[in-house]
Amino acid sequence: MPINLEDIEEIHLRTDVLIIGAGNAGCFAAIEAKRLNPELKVTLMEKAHIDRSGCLAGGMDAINTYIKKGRTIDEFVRWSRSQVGGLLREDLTINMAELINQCIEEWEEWGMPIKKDENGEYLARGKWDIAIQGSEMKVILAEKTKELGAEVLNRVVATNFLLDENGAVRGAMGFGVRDGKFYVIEAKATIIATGGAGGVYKPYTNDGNDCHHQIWYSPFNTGAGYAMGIRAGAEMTTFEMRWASVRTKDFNGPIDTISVGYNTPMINAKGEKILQTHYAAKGGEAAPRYIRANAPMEEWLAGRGPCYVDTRHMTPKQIKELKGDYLNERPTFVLFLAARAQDISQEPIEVYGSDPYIVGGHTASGYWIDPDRSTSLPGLFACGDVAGGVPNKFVGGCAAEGLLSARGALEYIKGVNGEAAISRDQLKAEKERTFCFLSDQDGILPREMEERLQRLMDEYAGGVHQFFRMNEERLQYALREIKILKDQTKYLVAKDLHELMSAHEVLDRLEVAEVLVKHLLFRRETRWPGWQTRMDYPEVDPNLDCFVNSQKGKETGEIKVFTRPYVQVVPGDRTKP
Amino acid sequence: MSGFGVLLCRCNGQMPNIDFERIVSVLSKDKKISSVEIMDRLCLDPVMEELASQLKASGVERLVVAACSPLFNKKLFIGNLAPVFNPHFIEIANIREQCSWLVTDHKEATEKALESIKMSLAKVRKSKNVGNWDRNCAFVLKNKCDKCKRCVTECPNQAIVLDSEGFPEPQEGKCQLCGICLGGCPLKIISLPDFRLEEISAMLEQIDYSVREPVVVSFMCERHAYLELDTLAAKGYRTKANLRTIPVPCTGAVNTSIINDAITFGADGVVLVGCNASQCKHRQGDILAKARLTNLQDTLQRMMLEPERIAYLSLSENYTEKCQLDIEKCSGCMVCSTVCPFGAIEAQTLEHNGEKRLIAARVPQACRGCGICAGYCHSAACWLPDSQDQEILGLIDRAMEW
Amino acid sequence: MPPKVILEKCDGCKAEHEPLCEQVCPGNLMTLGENKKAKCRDSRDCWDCMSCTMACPQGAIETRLPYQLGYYPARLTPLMGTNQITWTCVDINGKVERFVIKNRND
Repeated sequence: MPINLEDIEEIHLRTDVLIIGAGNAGCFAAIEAKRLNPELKVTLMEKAHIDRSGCLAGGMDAINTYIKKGRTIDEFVRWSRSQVGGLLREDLTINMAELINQCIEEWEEWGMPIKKDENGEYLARGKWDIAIQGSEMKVILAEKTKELGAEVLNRVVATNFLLDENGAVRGAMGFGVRDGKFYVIEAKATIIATGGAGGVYKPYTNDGNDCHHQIWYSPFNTGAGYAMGIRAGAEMTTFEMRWASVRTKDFNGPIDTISVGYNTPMINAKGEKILQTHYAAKGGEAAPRYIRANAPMEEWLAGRGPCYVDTRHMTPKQIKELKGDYLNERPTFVLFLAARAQDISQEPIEVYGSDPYIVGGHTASGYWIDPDRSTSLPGLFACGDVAGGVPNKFVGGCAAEGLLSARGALEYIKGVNGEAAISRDQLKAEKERTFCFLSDQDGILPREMEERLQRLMDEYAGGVHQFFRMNEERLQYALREIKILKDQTKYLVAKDLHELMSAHEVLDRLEVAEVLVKHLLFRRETRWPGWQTRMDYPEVDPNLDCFVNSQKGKETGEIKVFTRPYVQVVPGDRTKP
Repeated sequence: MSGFGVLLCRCNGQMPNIDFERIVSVLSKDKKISSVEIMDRLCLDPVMEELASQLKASGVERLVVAACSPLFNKKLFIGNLAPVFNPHFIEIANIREQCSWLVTDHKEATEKALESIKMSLAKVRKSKNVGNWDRNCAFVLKNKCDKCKRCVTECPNQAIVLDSEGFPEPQEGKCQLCGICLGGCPLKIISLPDFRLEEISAMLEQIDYSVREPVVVSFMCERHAYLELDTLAAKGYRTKANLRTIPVPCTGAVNTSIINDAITFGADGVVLVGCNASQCKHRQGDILAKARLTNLQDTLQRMMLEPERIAYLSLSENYTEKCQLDIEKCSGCMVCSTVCPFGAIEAQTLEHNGEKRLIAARVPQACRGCGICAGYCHSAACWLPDSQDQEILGLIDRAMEW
Repeated sequence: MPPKVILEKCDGCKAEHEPLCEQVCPGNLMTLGENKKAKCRDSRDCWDCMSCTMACPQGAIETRLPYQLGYYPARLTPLMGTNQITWTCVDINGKVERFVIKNRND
């Protein structure tokens, strides 16, 4: 029996700053907002629990962007630029880098242990990386957020932005996944911090038993923030710069811990050092990230796989340290090695490509924003993995963007007067859209549609089984099928609130997939093989040395894709560090 | 960081096996300790307040008093020192009963005393007002609380109510400071005015676990087990065990995380010593403690550690010895069993020298050592080891002399 | 990656409120079953972050790997201290490794 909307209780809240997503970026945004103005009401809307939500659930063993002594922000811009084929927003990168160290140092003060070298300086793990013991870091961050007085709404899923008559964002709507209520939160300024999108593509370990979520990225970050923005007509950027990277095979876990931290080269089945031998022309060991990320897949295709990170030279002490690092980030990787009785000094760790993710902390995908982190929608600010333009942000950069977006939001609030004119129709329509799937009638299960979408994207939009390859015809097919799936969502049924959340995750992923495919179609070149390999346009097209952006028409549903020119601030060859 | 001071007391020569010079010498090497003083009889010394002012003037903010058991003179010491020092920054190290008296060997007793002082220094160093000093009851750090309500359910005195936001709020007056809420809190966010998990963990970290003999950490409930150990030490009981004891308000106050810390730091074994079932002053402290230990034993097994490393040891509440029966003298008249108020005597047939005899056997578990049976026995077959007739007559004689 | 609940140890966090594993799971996967003990509503969707395992005050949850990834019966057990964890890893041949990780400064 379909439910009666009148029976669903409504919670109407008012706040000054609404932050959607209480992950890394969201918490820092809340902390900064409260620090700058303790009188301000700051509300966090979180679909899980602030203590362990988002990507930092298991912790982290390193901060991969920290400007160490002796290095400059310019250097960072040049390096980061070179890793993405020269395409990033230099203005955003610079003001992010100015704050990045502060966030990490504060985190240490609040209780997160950072490894030190013999001089008492942060222990360097790479050019821009330092080592931390972060298994509790999210809990520590959550404590600070609550201590400063931010209001936390746990287990409330955001479904759409609240828009006023001018199309400005005045808060958000959603539902409680535990209490089943409809939430309407009005805010003077809104910060979207919901992270990126995992699970748009099919992971290769997903085969019907237990491994559905055996992916590198958080499978609970499902692109809600992107989708909400897309539906409201926000401008997005660079979705086609997907993060498809080499990860540990089967476990799909982080690999930088090993390769950066312990100096292990990538080798193929013949024992050759892949980058030095077959990619010498592309830069060898110093080749840009997308080359390194994609190399093992190419080796596999060429018949020289499996590929490994060569851990055979590691001493027992180093191995113990390495496992300790993993215990701080993805502890079950240690279990994985134990479950194979694998001695990595004898048997190197196999690597393979992962399913592609859309994640603005690693690449430039996400909302198109200004330096104050405002998006193209007035009243909406974006930070963290959901915000685009700044690749190689990682944990520190997302935190820094949290600070920036809080500052931007507070500045914006000064000009906000009176109450928003929000139509009752908008609330009614959203309540309907949110709860319509709750039913015990015949229909499609969210899981079924999720799986279908994932395989569609994998086969036709360059997933891992296709070695990330795509062409015009396949992409057009994907687009066509996505449109059909979107229409089919009216048949989704959810038996409980958890399944209702799954239904919305499918809706959001479909939104992201559609925009993604449009971007992949538009960029008719292969600038970053692996991240985007167009078999029909295998070379770099200098005319596409610019940003590919998109905007969906609210009324028409048409996605317009267009370009924006590159603006260089830091001089130099953009493809070299 | 403020200066630390240590006040050592010789207890009027009652600690002959403690090498005080060595203790002073080791402590003086620690730069953070600004002052070490030795007194002969701190409890009888009329100038404790003056001494306190001197210490304060020399830069001491946090003080350790190394003397007799805190159960003996803590009130006196704090009372005299508190006008000058913040009472939360004063800690008593039990170097008399639990070091000097419990351990015979001079060297071992001195080392244990030193470690005891270091543990107290660590506790007092970690002492901090997180809000727990403001009221005389348990304190919950609300901004970390997940409202699991375990403390509300487990409190033996129903002393924790929920505030308007649903957070637990212990009530002053009702709260008996037993610490059972602290022991059960999975987020480790409850503290008592002078008992915080971080402080106890810091004490555990001071222990040298690398010594050859197994080191056993014991958490003893102050009311009974700790007092009993002091009493046994006073009576001349000696232990071979390499024991490091931390007094706790109740064994129910021992949070699994500090047992885990002890194991992580290197303790070979951890024992919780407290009351027996149905005799716990806080009704269910022992039951909760035992349940936690059972779960932890399972975890230890999964970790490939012997579950026997952790144990709960119970003491009976009565310290008096049980009534003993002299079988030779017992006539089997069973008058004692009629007058025993606890049903602790039952008839038993005894095979003795080929003949069957009835005797009034004792049921030790039920016996409370009241001695009423001894009063009625015509055959002088009942006796209480602590209270022989001769002893009692002697006490009466002495009383008459006064 | 099914989180396995050891029923003899689980007390459903007294079932007064949500059990701690249910409170903390980033995927909304842990809940109270009919027997008033914790259960994972969908083990396929677990990310094996081990938040539930570390949060459980009774040590009643074990995080396992799916058979696709790891042979039986390897084990990873955290012993939760006040600001450190002792991890014990037992591989399929019974080899034991221990790690002490400090996860919070005081």
